[in-house]
Amino acid sequence: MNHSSSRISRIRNVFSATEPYLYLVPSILIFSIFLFWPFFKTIYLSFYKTNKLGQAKLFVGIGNYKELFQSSAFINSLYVTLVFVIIVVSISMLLGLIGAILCNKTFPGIRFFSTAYALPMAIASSSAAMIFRIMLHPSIGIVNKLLHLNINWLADPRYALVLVAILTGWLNSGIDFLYFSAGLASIDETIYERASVDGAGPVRQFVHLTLPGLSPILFYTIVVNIIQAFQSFGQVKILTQGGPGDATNLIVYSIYRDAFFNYRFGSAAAESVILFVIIMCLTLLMF
Amino acid sequence: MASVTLKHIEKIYPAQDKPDGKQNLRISEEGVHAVEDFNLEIKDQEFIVLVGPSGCGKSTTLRMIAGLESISRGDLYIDGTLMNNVPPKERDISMVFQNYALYPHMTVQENMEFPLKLRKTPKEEIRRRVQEAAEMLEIKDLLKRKPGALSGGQRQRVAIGRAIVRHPKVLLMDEPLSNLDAKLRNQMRAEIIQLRKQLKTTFIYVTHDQTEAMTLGDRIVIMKDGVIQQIGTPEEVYDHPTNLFVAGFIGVPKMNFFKGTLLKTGTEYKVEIEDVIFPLPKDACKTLVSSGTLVQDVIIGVRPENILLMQTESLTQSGSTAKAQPLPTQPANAGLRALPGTADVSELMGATVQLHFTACDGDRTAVIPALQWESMQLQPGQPLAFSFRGSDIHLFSETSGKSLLREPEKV
Ligand SMILES: Nc1ncnc2c1ncn2[C@@H]1O[C@H](COP(=O)(O)OP(=O)(O)OP(=O)(O)O)[C@@H](O)[C@H]1O
Ligand SMILES: [Mg+2]
Repeated sequence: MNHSSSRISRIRNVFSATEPYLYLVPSILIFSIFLFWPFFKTIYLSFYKTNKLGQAKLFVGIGNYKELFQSSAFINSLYVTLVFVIIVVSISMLLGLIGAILCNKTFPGIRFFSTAYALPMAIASSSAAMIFRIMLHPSIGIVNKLLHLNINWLADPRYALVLVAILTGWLNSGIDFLYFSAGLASIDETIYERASVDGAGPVRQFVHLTLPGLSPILFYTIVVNIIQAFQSFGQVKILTQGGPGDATNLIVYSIYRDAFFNYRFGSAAAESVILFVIIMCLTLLMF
Repeated sequence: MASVTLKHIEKIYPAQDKPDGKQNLRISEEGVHAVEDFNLEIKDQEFIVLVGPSGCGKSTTLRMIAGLESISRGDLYIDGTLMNNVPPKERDISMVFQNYALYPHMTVQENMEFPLKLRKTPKEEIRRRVQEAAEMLEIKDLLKRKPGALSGGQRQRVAIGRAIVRHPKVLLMDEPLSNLDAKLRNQMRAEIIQLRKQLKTTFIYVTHDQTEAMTLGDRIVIMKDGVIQQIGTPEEVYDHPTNLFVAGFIGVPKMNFFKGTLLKTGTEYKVEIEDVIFPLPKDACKTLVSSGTLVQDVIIGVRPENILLMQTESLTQSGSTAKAQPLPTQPANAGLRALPGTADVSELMGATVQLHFTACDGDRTAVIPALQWESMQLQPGQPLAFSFRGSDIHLFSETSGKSLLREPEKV
C-alpha cells in the first residue's frame, strides 16, 4: 500500500517534470519540419556540389563561398540588394509614417483613408506587380500616357531597380502604417496641447514629441522593414526577372535562378546562408 | 499681470450622437451648447475658480481661454486685446493639465526648460528660472529624473513648475489636484495658496470640488449644464446662494431643503413647515417686501451646522405638539418652534458629529458639536426635535428654484 502510493507519486513527479515539454512538442515538430530541417539542410548543401536533382555529390568545403565572393555577378547582386533595401525601407517608412500622422486625427471619412493606407498589406505582391506592369507598359501604360513620355520603364536599367523598389516600398508601407498608427495612438494627446500652449509649432511638435514618442516602435519597424525588403521576390519575378542585365538581380532572386535554372543547388545554398548571416547581423546590430 | 474678460462666450459642439441623457445641455440645430453666454471680468492677479459638477463645461471654458478650443460665439479679451483668433502660443498663458501632460522622454529639467527654449530665452536666464521654480516647489532633487520615475504628487509639482517658469500672464489649471489622494491634496492646496502669494499672476482654476473652490478662490464661478449659476466670493456664494443648485452644491454636508409655504401678514413674512411657523428676520422681510413677493409655496434651506437639536420632553410622543426644551449647553433657544424627527446613523468627524435623521419626509443632516452629542445620547431610531433660527433660513421659490432673499439686480 505504502509502496504503491510512493510509486504513483514518483510517476506523478516524472509527469509534472515533463509536462511543460509535452505542450511544446507540436510546435517544435512543426518548426523542425518546416524551419530547422530545411535550414540545416541548406547549410549542409552549401558545402557540396550537387547533381541536377539537388542531391549532394561532392564535398567542396567552403568552395562554393569562395566562388561566390569571386564572382562579379554575386557582388553586383549584393550591391543591387543594398540599394534596393535602402530605397524600399525609406519609402515604406515614410509612406507609413505620413499616412499614420494624417489618420491620427478624427474626421469624417477617416475609416476610408485608414483602410486605403493599410491596404497594401492585404495585396499579394505578385498581383500588385501585375497591375504595376500594366501601368508601366511602354505603349498602353497609364504612366507614359499621363507623362506624355515614351519610355520602356522596366527594360531600362536606370529605372528598373528604382521602380521595383518603389512598388515594394508601397507594398510594405501598409504594415508600417499599422505600426505607426499604434505608436501614435499611444502618445498622450494632451502633451500636444501643452506644447501648443508652450509655443511649439507643428514642426517642433513633430521633432520633440512625435519622433521621441515613436522611437521604440521606430526601431522595431526599421528592423522588420529591412528583413522584409531583403526577402522581396514576387515583384522581381513578375516585373523584371532580375533584368535588364542584372540590374534587379536581388539576392533572393539570384538564389532562385541559381537553384532552379542553373541547377547549382550548392551555390544557391551558400547564397542563402550568406543572406541569412547578413540579416542576422543586421538584426543583432539593431537590438 | 493681466486681466481677462469673457463676453457672451459660447461653445457649441456640432451635435454628434444623442447626448447620454445625464446632462441637460441645450441642444439646438447648431449642436450641443456646452457653454452658454459666459460673462466674466477677471481682474489682474485675481484667483478665479470655476466649479461645477462633471460635464458642466468648466474645462471647455478654460480651453477656450487657452486657445485649445475655438470660441463659437462671443469675445475673449486678455489685457484688452481681442484673443479669439490668436493661436495659443501667442496668448502668453500657461496651463496645468489634469493628467499633468509631462513629456515622457524628457527629464524634469528639460520639461521645465522646454517652453523657455521655444521662446529663445538666454541660457543663463533659463537656468535661473528653472532653479527658482524648482526651489519654490521643492523639486530640485528631481530635476534629472524622467516623469515616469516620479510619484503623483511630484509629477503634479513638476507640472506646476513648468507652467510657472515662463512667468505667464495667466495661469490656467484644470483640476490639477484631482489625481491625488486626500492628504496630498490638502497639502498641495496649501502650497498653491502659498505659490499664489509669490507669483504675481492671474489664476483661473477649474475644479469639481467645492472645498477647493472655497479655500482657493477670490471669486468662485459656479456652473451647471454650461450656464453660470452664480459668481461671487466664497462668503457670498455660501451665505447667499442665488438658487437651489448653488445652495446644494456649495457646503459640506449638503444644505437641508424643506418644503413649506411663505405666509404674509402686513409687512411680516413667515414660513410654515408642517404646521410649524418660523418668523423671518427683519431684513429678510424688507427684501421680500421690496421685491413684492407674494404668498406661495417655497423651499426652505437650512445648513446642517445651523440645525439646532433639542431634547424632546417625552420620547414616545411625536408630532408638532411635542414641547421642545433647549439644551443646557446651547445658547438660549427659548421660544424656538421645533419640528419632530427620527435619529438615524451618526458619524464622528472629530470635534463635530454629523447626525443623519429623518424628518418632513426626507433624509436630513445636522452637524453638532461632539460635546453636545455626548450629552444627548441619541440612539438610531429615537425621536428627536430640531429647529433653526429665522436668520439662518435660505428661501427659494418652489417653481423657479431662485432665491427669494436676494435682490433681483444682484443675481
Ligand atoms: N468634442 C466634443 N464634442 C461634443 N461634445 C463635447 C466635446 N467635448 C466636450 N463635450 C461636452 O461638453 C460638455 C462640457 O465638457 P467639459 O469637458 O467642459 O466638462 P467639465 O465641466 O470639464 O467636466 P469634468 O469635471 O468631467 O472635467 C460635456 O457635456 C461634454 O460631453
Ligand atoms: Mg474637465
